Amino acid sequence: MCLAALLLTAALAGCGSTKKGEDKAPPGPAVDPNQKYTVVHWQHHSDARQKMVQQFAEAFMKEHSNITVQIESIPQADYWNKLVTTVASGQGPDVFQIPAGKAVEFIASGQVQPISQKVLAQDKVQKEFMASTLDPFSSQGKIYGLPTDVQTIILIYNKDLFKAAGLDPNVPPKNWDEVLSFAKKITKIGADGKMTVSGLGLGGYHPVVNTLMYQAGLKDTIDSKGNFAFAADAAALEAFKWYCDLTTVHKVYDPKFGSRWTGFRAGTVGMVFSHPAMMGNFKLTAPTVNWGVSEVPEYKGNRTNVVTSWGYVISKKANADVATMWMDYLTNEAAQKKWTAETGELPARTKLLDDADLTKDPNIKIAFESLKKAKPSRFTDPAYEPLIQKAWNMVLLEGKSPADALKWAEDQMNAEKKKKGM
Amino acid sequence: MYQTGAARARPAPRRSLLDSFGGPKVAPFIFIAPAVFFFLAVTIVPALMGFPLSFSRWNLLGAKAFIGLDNFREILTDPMFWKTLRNTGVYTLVGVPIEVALALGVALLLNRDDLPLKNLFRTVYFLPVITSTVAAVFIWEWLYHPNFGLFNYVLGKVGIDPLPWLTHPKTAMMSMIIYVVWKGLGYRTVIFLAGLQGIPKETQEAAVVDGANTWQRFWHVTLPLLRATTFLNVLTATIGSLMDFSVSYLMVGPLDSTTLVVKYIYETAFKTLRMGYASAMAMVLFAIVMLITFIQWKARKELTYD
Repeated sequence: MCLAALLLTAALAGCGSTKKGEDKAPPGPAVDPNQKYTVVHWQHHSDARQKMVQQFAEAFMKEHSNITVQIESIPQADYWNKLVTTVASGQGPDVFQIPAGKAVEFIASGQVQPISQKVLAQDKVQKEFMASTLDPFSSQGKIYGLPTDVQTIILIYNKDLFKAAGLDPNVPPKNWDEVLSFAKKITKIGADGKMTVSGLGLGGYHPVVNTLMYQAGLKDTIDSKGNFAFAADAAALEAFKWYCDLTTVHKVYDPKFGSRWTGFRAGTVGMVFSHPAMMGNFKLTAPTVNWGVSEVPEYKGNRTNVVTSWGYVISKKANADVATMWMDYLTNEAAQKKWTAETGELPARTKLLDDADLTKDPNIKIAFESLKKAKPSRFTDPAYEPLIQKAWNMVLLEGKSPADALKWAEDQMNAEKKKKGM
Repeated sequence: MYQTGAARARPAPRRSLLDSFGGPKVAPFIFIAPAVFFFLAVTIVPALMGFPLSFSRWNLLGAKAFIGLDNFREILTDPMFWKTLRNTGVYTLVGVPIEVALALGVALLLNRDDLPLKNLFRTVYFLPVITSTVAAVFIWEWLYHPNFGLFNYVLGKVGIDPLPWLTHPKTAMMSMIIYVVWKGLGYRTVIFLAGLQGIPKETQEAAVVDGANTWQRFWHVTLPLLRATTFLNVLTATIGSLMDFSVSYLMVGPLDSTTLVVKYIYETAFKTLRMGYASAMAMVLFAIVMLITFIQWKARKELTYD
């Protein structure tokens, strides 16, 4: 859910230097300056992130000459297997990334420890970070991680296809009705019946479906006991049905058309619901596509969308004070500003959402606006993630009703939850 | 010439390399020790460790909890396990006979004395075997593209409606089997070629003298003498299919239509972190593979000339 460089202006803060008097840790003894420490840091790899975190590490080590930070950047395909097996063996890193959806399991198992209050006061963290990004890493009044790789849902559209369809390329759809009518105008079917241009690329991606459910009025995907409970909600069903109908009834997308990303890059998909990180990706992989960005079109006056993230946590075997110092450095205001500028991933600090430098770019500003309206997703555990897409495929390929498919997804999620003993 | 006693004393025999390793009785074990140790460490020991784990609940992060036969009971009612086992069964029962039969046909052709550019053809047929699986799957996914792929283009040219290939549950498994047959054909062919070249030419000549035609020579002479080779190919192809992971992992059809049981075990272990349940499924799969192998081994005595 992360990745790809977003190159913006070069006039950004220097390499991870903490601004004096703003994001510094509260005073008090934290670590002994005469003792040597090592922090082993693992993250899943992207070129832009690795380079940047390495720079942060070098700057951090200059400021703290008694602390060595060893960075290991692991390809995403291998990251999870390597992480859980080494953590289980007790040999794992001191600081590592986990997806927000996995935090509750790591916290419950005792494999991670809370951030050090000596280094970073909890109420300061709660004041400075967005609640939607911090909540997954909080448990029983303690904070176990600091968020990173924050992503929401926005709409990216092809301005040239808009023009070709007689639409104003600078006016994206405002609401669901316009999404549908624009998509119908953009969609082209050849004489042989094959789709040549899709008005709206779809994939059954759970943050997108979740976004639509919230917009339709669903309050939460879980009930007061923590069980998944969305299938019987009229708003959730309305949203899921609308999403399915885009393909089955209105035919603005065809599963045979292929990947929506490949199609967008090839200039054959008019609109896609997307993470902001794809802006950086498209700059590199779709240089010929003239694209624009908007927040998700509203429904019933609602532009709520879903935030997903990873976070840095501290292993139970690590020195919490040293690890927290490093994590604080990695997520301070200057670092997050640089992070956003160079990777396209959104900041988790509330103050940065109105930062003048970052919001100079209108696309970044739109992404920030989406973050202000975002709610956390409950579907980010790997056990739950594919189930919404499967439900969608059941409707498209097996003719199941949206209500039955959604109920199936809910039952499967609760079954998986029960199997985990949660 | 008469030699003195001193001259008659023979120099001490030079110590051979074999002697340095303990002599002919001990040396073989020393030479195979590293490979055996490696095999034990990465295959046998983890497999044995999986057995007690199959009676536990463990998410890798917390402590293990003994739960008796609960995991095995869950397997009985897990629709996903049975679906992936069914997928694996279809994959094996359809893919193996096709691959073996085609390989035999290709080997018979490549064994002909009058075939021009024989070595070139042998290389061409073996190339898929040594091609990276990731690269090959990537290319085949494009070949299978319903709108822009080569296969539907060719089908269209001969008046056949396009197929959804990997984008529909009804055709995704067939698509995967076609790919796997292409990928493994060269390897099976080489095995058959070795078997064919082990058949004495005199037996064929004798059959010709007796008036047998081509088909009769193949059915009554060649095929029976290839039984051991055929058995080897069928046995190894069956075990390989039952244990296949990489193709299922890379070539993904919708609604788990191409998910094989080993992939489901892997995802249960490493995505949903249910190591105990995954181990239990692995034990069940092991038992199934052993049973099938046992049956085939017993049948071998009936079918081969040992």
